[in-house]
Amino acid sequence: MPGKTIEKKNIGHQVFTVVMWAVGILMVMPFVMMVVISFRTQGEAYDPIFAPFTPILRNYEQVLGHVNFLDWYGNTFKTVIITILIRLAVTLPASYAFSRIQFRGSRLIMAVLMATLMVPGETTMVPRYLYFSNIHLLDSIWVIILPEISEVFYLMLMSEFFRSIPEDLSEAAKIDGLGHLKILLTIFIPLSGPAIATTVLFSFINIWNNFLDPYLFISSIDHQLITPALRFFQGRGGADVPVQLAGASVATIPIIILFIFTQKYFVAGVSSSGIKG
Amino acid sequence: MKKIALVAILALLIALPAFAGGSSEKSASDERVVTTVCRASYANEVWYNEMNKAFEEETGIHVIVQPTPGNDEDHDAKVNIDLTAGSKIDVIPSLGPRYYAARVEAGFFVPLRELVEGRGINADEIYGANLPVEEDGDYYALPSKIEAYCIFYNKDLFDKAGVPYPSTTEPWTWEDYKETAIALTDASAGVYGSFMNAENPWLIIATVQQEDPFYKEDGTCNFDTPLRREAIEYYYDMTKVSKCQMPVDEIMNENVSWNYYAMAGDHLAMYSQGNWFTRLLNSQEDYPRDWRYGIARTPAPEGYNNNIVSAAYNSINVNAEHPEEALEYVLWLADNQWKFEGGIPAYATMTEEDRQTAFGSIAEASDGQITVDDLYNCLVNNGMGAVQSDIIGTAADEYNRIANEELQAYFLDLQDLDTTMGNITRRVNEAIQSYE
Amino acid sequence: MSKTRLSKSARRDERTAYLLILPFVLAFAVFKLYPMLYGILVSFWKRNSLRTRASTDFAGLENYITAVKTSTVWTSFLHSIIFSVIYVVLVMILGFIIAVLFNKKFKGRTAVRTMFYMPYVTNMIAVGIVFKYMLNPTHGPVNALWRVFGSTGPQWFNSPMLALPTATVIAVWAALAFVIITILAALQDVPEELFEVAEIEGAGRMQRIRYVILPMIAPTLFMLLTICIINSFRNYTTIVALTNGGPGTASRVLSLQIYEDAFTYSKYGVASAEGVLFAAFIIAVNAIVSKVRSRCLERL
Repeated sequence: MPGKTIEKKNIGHQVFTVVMWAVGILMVMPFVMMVVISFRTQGEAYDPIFAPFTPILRNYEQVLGHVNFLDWYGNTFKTVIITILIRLAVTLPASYAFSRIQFRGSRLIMAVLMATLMVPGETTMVPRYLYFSNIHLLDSIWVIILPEISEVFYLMLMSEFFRSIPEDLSEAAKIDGLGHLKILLTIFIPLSGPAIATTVLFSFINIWNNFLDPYLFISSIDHQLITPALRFFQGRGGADVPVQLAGASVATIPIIILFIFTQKYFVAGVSSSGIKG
Repeated sequence: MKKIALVAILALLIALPAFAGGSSEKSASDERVVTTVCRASYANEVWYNEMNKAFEEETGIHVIVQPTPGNDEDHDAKVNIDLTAGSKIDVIPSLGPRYYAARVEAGFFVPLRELVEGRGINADEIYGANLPVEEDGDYYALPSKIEAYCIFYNKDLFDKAGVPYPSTTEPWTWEDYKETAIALTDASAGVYGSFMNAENPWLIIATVQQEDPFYKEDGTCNFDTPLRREAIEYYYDMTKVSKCQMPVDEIMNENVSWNYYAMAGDHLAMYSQGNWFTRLLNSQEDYPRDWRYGIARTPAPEGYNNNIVSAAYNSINVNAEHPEEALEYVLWLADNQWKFEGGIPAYATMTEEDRQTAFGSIAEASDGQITVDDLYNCLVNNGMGAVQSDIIGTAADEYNRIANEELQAYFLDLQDLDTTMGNITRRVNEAIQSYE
Repeated sequence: MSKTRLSKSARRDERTAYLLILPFVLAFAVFKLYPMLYGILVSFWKRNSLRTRASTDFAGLENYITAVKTSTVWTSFLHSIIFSVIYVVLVMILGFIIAVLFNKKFKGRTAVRTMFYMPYVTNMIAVGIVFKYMLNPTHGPVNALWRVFGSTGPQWFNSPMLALPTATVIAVWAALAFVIITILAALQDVPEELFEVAEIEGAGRMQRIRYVILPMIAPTLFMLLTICIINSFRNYTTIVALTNGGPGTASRVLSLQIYEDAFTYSKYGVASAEGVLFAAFIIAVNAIVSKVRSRCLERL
């Protein structure tokens, strides 16, 4: 009987929906705990998550009241914004050249660029450290920014996007006598809003969450970025879990909010990058 | 709606750095300054800030402090990294001789003899054996305090168990200590008679006092000795057989850190630590405590009457930006740090006045729980020789860490003692070799 | 147009192209490529103590021999591989399953997707604090489930058997979003008709996945595999945030070994040699994967 199968299907579908929701909630449970416990006193830290308690702000006062807290936040934003601007300025022209102009050596250069993607930063931290020390780059946000500007991932992402722009458009412009730079500026960049948004978002997330580089390369407390700075709140070891969690919340909540509002670009970026193969 | 919210957030994000820029005020250029580094945990401590304030008031030199993120081990590694990179920080503290020795070897520090004697100060006389004189006859730091080990105990738990308080004037052995700990242990109430950190020197504390050498004559690892095995078995017995000491797995689960006893001493009857810990026990604001504490001597192994003592050193970086101010700060710290930190001066002999200054304020802050005499008898006037807590020598840092890692694995019952000893010897020898 | 003699406009194009890529390539050469090559240099220098930190004395293969002869390097390497295998297998399989499920419509799908993606944007240091709290064996909320039945439950980060897998699973939790999104995008490119045809021919769900979906998205999967393998070796922060290599050396991975050798013990030469060997290994693994890929794709 068709009616019965539909009903059966419906129940199956409802179970499926419930399961997906349950797993989803499980996925974000760590964040829920992080926020809830960060409003508790030390003594209540290990009480059950749903246990009633009077929220306190003391932990946040301790985190936000840290002398250098605004420095860390400010440095992180400065680093992110400067990186994004320079990154776009160098990556957009290069992507255009690689995707739209034939030139000798383009394959070779691309091959070298791609090959370095295979080498994780962990394996090169020692020479990077020694080299940046030699050229006196350590202990400023530039030691994070300069190596970040030529990230091959974004070159691939942007090139792939440019390739998807119809050939006719640039051909027509060429016939009109426009040079490459003009074409890039007046046709390609205005069309590449989504790709730029993706670049901005990914840059933001990656630089914000970078731990190893700033931890290793930056030594002054007032030059530090927010993620390594979280370790300043670990001075008290396992003792003050709520304060540590308050620090963690402060470092993650802004980026989660940003992400929720810009998810569209995030998803579009992943699927339009060169990853499709 | 969404768009408006998004724009608002972005605007907020972009506006924030502007605030940050306003907050970091730069000091005037003609002001005299000195820069130094400290552990993340120090930066929040009242005494540390008050000490620097006092120095500023006295000399007019502004102290700029750079704390390092992470725990204490991270701190010393990070300081080395920065020094390697040519850091211009003026004054570098080294807690214990291990890091000090490696940094002197690396040529990070300014030789001080000429500078100090130029001020008419005879450091050899003042600090005696506490002055770290190197083979070249020079010294690269002034000691700012010494830390002597002792036992802190919870008087309430002793009363409850009907056990008399340990003597402050008579020596006792580790066997006595274990018996006392067993008598104090009350498993049903979650009370442990003993609490020692799960790291060196406590894991092998008796052999440190016995000065059992860590290196063979040919420079290779000499960890696997009968005395060392005995000391390790002692700790093992305490945790797993007599069960009078908090076991290592529980110590790890509790995420125990340097200040644990000040917070959880209500169920830990005895605690072996340096005298600096009085600062935490006396700080009712940071560590509210509803039990009374006492102090006793460090027990010693049968036939060896040594206490563990380590010094803190302050040195001047060869790349110091303000060498003159740095010297001034180092000299001042040598005379004053112990007063603020509640420690023992590194002087060769302590005058009655020093004793009162060093211990008077501690005794007072303890609200009558300990007296000046208790402190003096347990820490200084105990007739005990002084030995260093650290392993010092080739690859000392690695040696220390390897021993910690492998011993912890043994106390967690992950491997037997022979394997542990074999691993330590092999790994340490590999480390020593890689330095050649 | 002959190869040797380009037309005037082509030559002008070429010059423009070089100008356009110049800033990127220059920055890349100075800040990315050079440090990598410099690492090879350092690995041949005698820089193995604080005292010899600036030495450029040639050490021959000494650093490589020391690295290979150190047992901790091998255990760390083994741990890195275990981490990597668990990570890649879990992240690919779970990512695929969840992506297939997300391809079906259900109530609140967008919201649930957001929940799955959230871990991806947060940093490991913050997440590590939360997980250490949650997995505390004596008081933590996760072991509360075991305490209900009167046992203490697993020791997680304090257990030498579980520390590394637990850290790996948390890394998977954080990285899952990337795989899900990518596979989901590939799935949405599979033409509707293909499913319909398969359904008419009476293909079951498993068969549909095997014969319709997998071949269509195989290129994406292989690309993802390469990326996941590379990412699986980027685990320094994860390990530092969660276990710091412990208990004992149970979760010490090679990146941690490199860090400590260099920055705790000042053995820059040896650490660089380890880095070079590690990088070579990763490149070799990826070369094998790309061989397998071209074979597999040919067969499909």
